Amino acid sequence: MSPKMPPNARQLLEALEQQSQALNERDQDDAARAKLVARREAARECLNQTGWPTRKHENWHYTGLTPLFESPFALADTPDDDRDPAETAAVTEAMLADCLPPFATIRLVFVDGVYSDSLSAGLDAIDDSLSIEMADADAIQAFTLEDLKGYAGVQDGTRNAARPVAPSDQPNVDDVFVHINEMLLDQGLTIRLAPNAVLEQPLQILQVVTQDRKLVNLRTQFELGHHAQMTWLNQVVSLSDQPRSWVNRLQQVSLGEGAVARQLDWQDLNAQSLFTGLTFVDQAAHSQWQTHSLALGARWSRQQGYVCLNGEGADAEQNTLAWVRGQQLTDSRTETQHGAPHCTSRQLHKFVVQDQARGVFNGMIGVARAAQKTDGQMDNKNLLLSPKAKMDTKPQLEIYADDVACSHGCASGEIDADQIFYAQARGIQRDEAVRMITRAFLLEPLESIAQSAMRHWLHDLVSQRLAQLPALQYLAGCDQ
Amino acid sequence: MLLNVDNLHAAVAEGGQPILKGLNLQVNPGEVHAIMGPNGAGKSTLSSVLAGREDYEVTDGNASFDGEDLLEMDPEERARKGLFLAFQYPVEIPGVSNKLFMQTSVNAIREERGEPPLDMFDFDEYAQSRMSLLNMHSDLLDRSVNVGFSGGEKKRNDMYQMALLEPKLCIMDETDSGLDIDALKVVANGVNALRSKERSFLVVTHYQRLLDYIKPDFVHVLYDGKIVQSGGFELVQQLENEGYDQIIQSHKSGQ
Repeated sequence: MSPKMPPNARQLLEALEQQSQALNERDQDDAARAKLVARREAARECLNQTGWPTRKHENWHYTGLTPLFESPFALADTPDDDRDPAETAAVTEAMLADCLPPFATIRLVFVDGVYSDSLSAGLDAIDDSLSIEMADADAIQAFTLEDLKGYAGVQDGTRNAARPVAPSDQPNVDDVFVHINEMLLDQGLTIRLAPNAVLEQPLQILQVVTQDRKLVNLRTQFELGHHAQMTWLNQVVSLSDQPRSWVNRLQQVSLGEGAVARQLDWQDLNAQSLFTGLTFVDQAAHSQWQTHSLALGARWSRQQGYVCLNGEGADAEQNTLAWVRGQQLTDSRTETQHGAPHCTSRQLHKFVVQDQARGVFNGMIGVARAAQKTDGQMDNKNLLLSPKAKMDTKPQLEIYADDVACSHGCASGEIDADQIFYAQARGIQRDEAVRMITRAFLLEPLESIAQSAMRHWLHDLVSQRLAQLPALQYLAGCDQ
Repeated sequence: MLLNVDNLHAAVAEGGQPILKGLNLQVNPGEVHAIMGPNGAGKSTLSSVLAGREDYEVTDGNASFDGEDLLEMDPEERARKGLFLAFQYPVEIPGVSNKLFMQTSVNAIREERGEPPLDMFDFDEYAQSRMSLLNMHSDLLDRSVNVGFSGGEKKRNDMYQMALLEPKLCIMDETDSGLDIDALKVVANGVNALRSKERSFLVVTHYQRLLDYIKPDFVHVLYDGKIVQSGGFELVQQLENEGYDQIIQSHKSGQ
């Protein structure tokens, strides 16, 4: 018996469940997929019991799901035969120009979730140390929610904390998008890098969505052997303003001892689309995780990172760069669990919010009793460019060890009028001054990207976007 | 005449408290004028009103700059036409490099003069050439505008900006406040190096010390929103010996 919900919310839930059942009917005679069928059913059962979160649920108070319910979604269509999805969707390489960096990558392009051979490139650079498996039933089955249970929350002897970090097979309303991902699981991408291997070129995973009222359900797993090192660039983009797409992505990252992983996460969906993304990171001793999330698009988006520092001396750096405008809602949240001594974590989350848009940040640092000498820092800074722009932010610390250095800070404000006047007094026009100051504010998180070609490219891309910063209400208000 | 201020009245925009109460001032090209006065006389208000800060509202009177109505112009327009304000408290702008800030600024002013913009390389060359004038460290251009600068460094950076922009009128708003003697000399040297037959200065200050190094042509005493006495450099000496009291008293009794 599922909980009460508005008709359109129920409609969406039922549509998704029907899709799940259709997948299971298709797979029911395939013995290799028996486990997968059972897992879809289990997830569907969880979802049925919890229903959707509402604003009464603490973690959803500022992030209402109404925009998701505005239309039903079906799973994205896949080409019937072995045709390249680029052909079906009429996507050409020229249309991807804005997404292609000016340096070599191993480029995997997916159109509506399906691998496109014609748009992918640079695969010659893949050597024996790197394995990429796609849409393989065994590979999909290899990573389960059981694995994610390893992402236990802070332990203070017993399970502490208001709720466990990991999605469980117990129904939990906070995990609805995990359950949806599981319930509709069909395509999977597994990346493995052998121990000690260093991937010279970044791996670029470009997800292009083109279909209207369709859900692209993605599951990706990264496994880096000990002392392996790689960088990947995730991109989720729409190529036009038209289709209303929903991308629900679940990523699992497992870093062996001393492994180094750097992720650039570029979300640039159009203003009708929705994005839900969860990334679970499990770090062994002395591993390093660095992620920069660039949230530039989507009508409504929520990205969550769960990082578990499970081995001594591990280091995690998480950054957000969000430009939120128009009617957008952009929610970025992190949960960083220090489970071992001498780990460090650094976070800088910056939002520029304008028009009637809303930004939401929620960050939690947990320190287990065993995690002595933890050094954790989290900063959230927000620039509000219009009187109607809104930012809800909630940094949290939960510490059970006694010898730690942890801090969190958050600040939201307008552009300092003195800064604008100073620039004006040097002949710089007011709009130009606002752009200059906004750009400098927003680009700061990129400074920690070590690869200069990557940093410059992202810097230029975001700068070009901000050049379009329209006449701002904030300024109109000042001129009166 | 470069600057002609006529019966200027100004009030705080928020609250309407009158500060300037009929101020008259004429500055010709090449002249250096000092405005002195006790705290609360309206010195900083005068600088702010001339530069176009929105915190003050002009309630009466006129000000023309190079024959044009100054009070009608936006702050950036005033700057483009050659008015420069050296700030009492230069502002920090995190993340914006001095290079970007000043290249944008220099090119805005070049545009006004009908000159082509300087590209990165030409600007760099120009910026380096002006550096020695004020003993600036060469890493200045890559640092964020005034971020992490000491008080003296900030003022010096303002002087450096002035050197780059080559304005017609430089208004120095208590640039000397909070400076030690060495920093003060650097500021004075900067001003003296930029003095020319075309360029005028309005040096607003509370103390005579800066003026000892700059040697203004005219000295005005500002009190209660008006200039109550004007003279030559000898007035500085008189103020140093007698303080403001006597001038203020004779002004009050004359009313």
